[in-house]
Amino acid sequence: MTRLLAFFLSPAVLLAAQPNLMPWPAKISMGQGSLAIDGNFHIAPMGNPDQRLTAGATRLIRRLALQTGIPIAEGFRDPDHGTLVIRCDSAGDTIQKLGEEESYRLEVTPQQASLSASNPIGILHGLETFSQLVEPSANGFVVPAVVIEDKPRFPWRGLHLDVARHWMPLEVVKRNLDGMAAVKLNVFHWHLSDDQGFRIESKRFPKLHELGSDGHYYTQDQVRGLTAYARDRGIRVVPEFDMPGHATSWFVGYPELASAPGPYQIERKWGVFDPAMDPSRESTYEFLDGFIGEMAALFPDEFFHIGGDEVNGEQWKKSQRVQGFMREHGFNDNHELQAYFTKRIQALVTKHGKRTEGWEEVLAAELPKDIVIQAWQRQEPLAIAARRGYASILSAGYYLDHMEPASTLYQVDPFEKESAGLTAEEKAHILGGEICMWTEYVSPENVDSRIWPRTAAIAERLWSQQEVKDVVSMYRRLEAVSRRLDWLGPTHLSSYLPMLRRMAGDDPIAPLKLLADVVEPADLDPRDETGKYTQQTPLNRLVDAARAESTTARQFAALVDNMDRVRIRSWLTLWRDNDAQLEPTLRKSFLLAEDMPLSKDLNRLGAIGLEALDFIERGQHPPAAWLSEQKTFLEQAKKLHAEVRIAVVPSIEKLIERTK
Amino acid sequence: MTKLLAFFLSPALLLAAELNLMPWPAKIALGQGSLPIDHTFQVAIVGNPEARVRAATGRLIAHLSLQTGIPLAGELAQDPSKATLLIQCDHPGEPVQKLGEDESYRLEVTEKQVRLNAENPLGIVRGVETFLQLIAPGQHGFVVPAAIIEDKPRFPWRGLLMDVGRHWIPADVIKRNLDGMAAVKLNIFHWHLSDYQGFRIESKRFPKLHELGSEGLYYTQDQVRDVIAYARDRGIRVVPEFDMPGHSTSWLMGYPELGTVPGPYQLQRTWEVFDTTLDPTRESTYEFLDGFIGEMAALFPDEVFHIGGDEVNGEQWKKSEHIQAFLREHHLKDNRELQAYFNKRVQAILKKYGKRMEGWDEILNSDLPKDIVIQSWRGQESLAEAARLGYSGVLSSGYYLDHMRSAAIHYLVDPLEKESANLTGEQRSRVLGGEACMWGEFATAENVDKGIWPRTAAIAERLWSPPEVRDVASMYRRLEMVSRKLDWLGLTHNSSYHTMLERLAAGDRLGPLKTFADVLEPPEMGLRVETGKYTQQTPLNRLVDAVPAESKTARDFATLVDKMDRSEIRAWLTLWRDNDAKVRPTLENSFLLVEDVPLSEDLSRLGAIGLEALNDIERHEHPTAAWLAEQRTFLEKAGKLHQELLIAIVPSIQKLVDRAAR
Repeated sequence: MTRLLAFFLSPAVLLAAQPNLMPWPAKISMGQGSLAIDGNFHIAPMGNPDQRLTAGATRLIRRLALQTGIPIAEGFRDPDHGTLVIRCDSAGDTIQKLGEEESYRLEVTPQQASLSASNPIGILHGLETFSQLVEPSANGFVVPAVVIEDKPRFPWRGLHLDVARHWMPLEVVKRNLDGMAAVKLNVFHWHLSDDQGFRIESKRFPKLHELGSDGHYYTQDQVRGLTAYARDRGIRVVPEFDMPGHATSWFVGYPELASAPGPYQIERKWGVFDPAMDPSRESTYEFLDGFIGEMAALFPDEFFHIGGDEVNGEQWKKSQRVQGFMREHGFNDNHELQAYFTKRIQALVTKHGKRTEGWEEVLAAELPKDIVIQAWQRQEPLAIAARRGYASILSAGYYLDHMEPASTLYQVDPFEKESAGLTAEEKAHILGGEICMWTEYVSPENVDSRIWPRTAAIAERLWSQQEVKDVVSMYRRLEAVSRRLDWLGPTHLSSYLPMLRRMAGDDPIAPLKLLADVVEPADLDPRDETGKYTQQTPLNRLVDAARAESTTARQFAALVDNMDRVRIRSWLTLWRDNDAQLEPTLRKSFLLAEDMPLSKDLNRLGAIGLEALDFIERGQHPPAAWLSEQKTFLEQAKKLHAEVRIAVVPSIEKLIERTK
Repeated sequence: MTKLLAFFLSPALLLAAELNLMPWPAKIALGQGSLPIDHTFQVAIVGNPEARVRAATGRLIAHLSLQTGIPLAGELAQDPSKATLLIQCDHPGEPVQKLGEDESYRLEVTEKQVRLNAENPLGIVRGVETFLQLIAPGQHGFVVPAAIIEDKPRFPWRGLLMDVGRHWIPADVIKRNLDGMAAVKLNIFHWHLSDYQGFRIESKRFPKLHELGSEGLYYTQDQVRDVIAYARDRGIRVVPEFDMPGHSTSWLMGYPELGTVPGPYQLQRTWEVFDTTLDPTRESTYEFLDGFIGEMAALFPDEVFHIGGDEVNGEQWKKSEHIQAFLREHHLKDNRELQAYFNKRVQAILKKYGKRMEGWDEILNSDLPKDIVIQSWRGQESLAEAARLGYSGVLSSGYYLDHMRSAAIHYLVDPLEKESANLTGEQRSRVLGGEACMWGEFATAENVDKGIWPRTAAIAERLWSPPEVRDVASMYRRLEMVSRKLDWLGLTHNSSYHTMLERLAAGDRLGPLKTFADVLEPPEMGLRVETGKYTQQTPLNRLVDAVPAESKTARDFATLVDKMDRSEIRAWLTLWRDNDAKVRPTLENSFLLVEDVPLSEDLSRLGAIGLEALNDIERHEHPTAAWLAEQRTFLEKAGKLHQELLIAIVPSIQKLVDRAAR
């Protein structure tokens, strides 16, 4: 063992010769040769203390068959004949625990691969690593000889999905759990209620889902199926019921829970609204005792998320009863009132055997130390919580709906910024992070394209060693992971063309795709500001189809950095000439008419870029008038049009800079 | 009513208006204006005689929402006058869908409302699909053009066969294809459930059939019931086929005593006609079949039961002494008569269980009762002969999807032409329709959709629409639109192309590989079998497995050449000429693609030759005889199969060269 370890290289050195692994393993040592993957591929599970192993192994076989197109028989062999031997001697916890062992060791030789772990979860992660190693070679599909010893940096690596603002059917959740497992995420945070919908069946309080969901809710059987599906993939499911704010959908069926009489309607718009639970009535806590009891029995995980964010206090301010209650209890402001509420709820959660999690706002209350704080606005509360001895996780910086590129998300580290100065003991309170997918502008059709592939970059941040942070390498591997996810069911790649076709009607989509390939959607604030969106607004425009990050723009930026003049010229020519082909299509469709100025801008960007390139090639400097004209135009072209932005503008600016 | 009908135009005239309908309706009259489709869309149902109407409405709303991206709540309108779509159907359908059950409907779209009426829920199921096809984005929103459609099928039997015996096809793949079938108004799913290579259904009475004959790849009876209910909801009958007495090795794994020779047997892995045959001389064979057919007859509600009956080579019978003795004893002249004896026995069992027998054209024999159905596959002649003898017939010859012919070829095959052309009126009425056949030698769950779609939509039009609807250019234009709409139903004929190319490119840029693949076509099944290298376990992950049956690029290019659109022709030729250099590293890096290097070189040369020919044409110069001879030799070679692939633009390049020589 020591001898092998001696060959392990530092992650930075190894990224040079890297296989397409993501997240990058803690230790990896490449060997000589490779193991062939063909129709005789067999898995030999040894020990097999837990049915998750055979389920995971069967999924691997199916995945390999899909990925390679080779029919591979399901079923297992003895170790002498197995291509991949799996050894795991003990069963995992009956309910997956925070911090449960996830490490594994994978050794591949040209003869055999062996995967060992002390806990089944490690095996599940190792199987994902194995499937990422399979690549076509000159002689067939192979896995390179390698020794990997791997374990996560953080024990809490989550994805949060808001199913309230836009309903997400069960199969959407499932395919995203498959995606999570592929990149070794281990917590699914299910945001089940908000102003715009209550998405789970309550047998005790049926008006919650009957009146609060428009019929779009999960039955308890579906929820049990989903938690089992997640457990099979090494993923914990933490439910969130947001209280006391973000709770309008509860009040449609039970207006007596609110701080003003009602009646209430399901909220259709996006924002922070006034309705909040009434913290002054005992009946509120009686109701929540019953409800939390029901849900605590349904969700096996030890954590229960109570929300707690964005209470504007308007209803409390206007309620005489609440004001009287505050005076009676000597509360100075709404923060203190919410802290009281939080403490009461926390006690109920404890009573039902769970640990409480909440958004950073709940830090205001004096709560026992077993709770978990989720920092969402800034990184600071993460550090504050850690200093005060609370466990915490980071979501600030991991908001997918802000439409930031993978490179930005990738560099957000729970141990940096405000956390950098923490002591080791304080740092130990930081459990990891959670990626947040809020769904104001996301439908089942495009949600995968907002989650993937960027989530894989954050998953690497949370799993891999802190020094793994080379952005070029990340993008190269991210693309490979993205293609692999295609085989698992996420539709982040496949939904693109049908959405473009829908807009183009009968016309060919190639010109539209050329435009769509270079635009990026606005983040949520400018879309909110338009004031035109409700839950029922169709999300079927260019902004909804465009990918969160333009691969074309990123690749073009690299060409400009390298001054690859031939390829720069061919892109610029394509863009310059595209509008003539695209314009008739844009004119015809009501979904596209708004994009005409964008297409014109792209045409001009191509033309300007070509002129700049001509200047550069001839060694000439452009006249000042030309420069100032283009500068004015570029300022305008940078702005949002139809809620998208042309992502190649900065590269065109660079080209122009270079003419000087 | 009469006044309206006066405006109906003949189908041929109306194709000019180019709505994206397929199959084209029997009668259509376009009106003025259009009906907007937005989030206020609501359906009201009047009459509502059975659950299928409500289910069809639910699917309509879900598909509409998918197709347009408009979120729709799915609640029915309480007030019919406020509904966007008013569905009226007064009578329930048959509890088990019948052959010839009424499928007609009337769809009237005005600027205010759509009305869909039908006598039978099947008509509603059909009309809903027509309505979905009419929706298109306009300048102000999604719209449906004002129109009146009165529609009904030409033939009552419009089927698709899927072979799940050779390669296993999971139930979810079947279901998405049932959705595709419903979209083009097909009404029979012919489920080929057993063959040499696999027995794909659970038998509770004879469990060794699926336990030993399927390698675990079979449908449970619950799954089968679920598929049947799914099909019924979509107006599709499910006809099961258990192929006998040949094509039956998989039965004999568990029950070798049914075979003519003692066994033991192994599942066959290759694609050919094997000797294995059930023993038609033992009473025990019929006792077994009585039990088995009894079980399956209870599981499958349809009145028709397909017994196969094809490709019995008789080798085992010839060599078997007890069979020969049986022939003598029963005065049977030959194997053909022996099979006829077998068919009669099986037919009697089917009758006992209340079923009509269907079989491949080999079973045609005037001794059988007239209620059987003959499926013509070896030629159209047997269809005509069956009709003359008083039997019902279904045409599959000319509709074999695995032959990888173009949609245009299938489209022009008509059950009432060729040998059927001079049947009498009464005889013609026995020609029930046709069935597209998707045999499974080279079809897996991954690429079977591509084998079936979109070409099946062209066959579906042949079987539904009036015979004079046969304009190929219009068909292709509409076929493309249907193909895209099928995407929303979950069919993978478009999306799998991309993922399969991604697998081959293994991370390289896809563009050049796609440019290359776009001009290639796979050969028919027989030529692939002849290579001798395929078994059931051979991966179908090469370029030949990824490319669609028909190259759209080649077809579009042929049109450009016919029109001599020189600038477009030049752009394509240049792209092809320059592509080899771009795609070569990708081809050479992958064991799956390296075999295709010569093809890529050929494509590059085809581009170069085409450009030279085009230059000559533009300059009004004639190429030299030596150049012509050299290119013609090359074109001869380039037109042949390489690595089981054809470069589909060769005939167009040939045309350019010929034009230059003129």
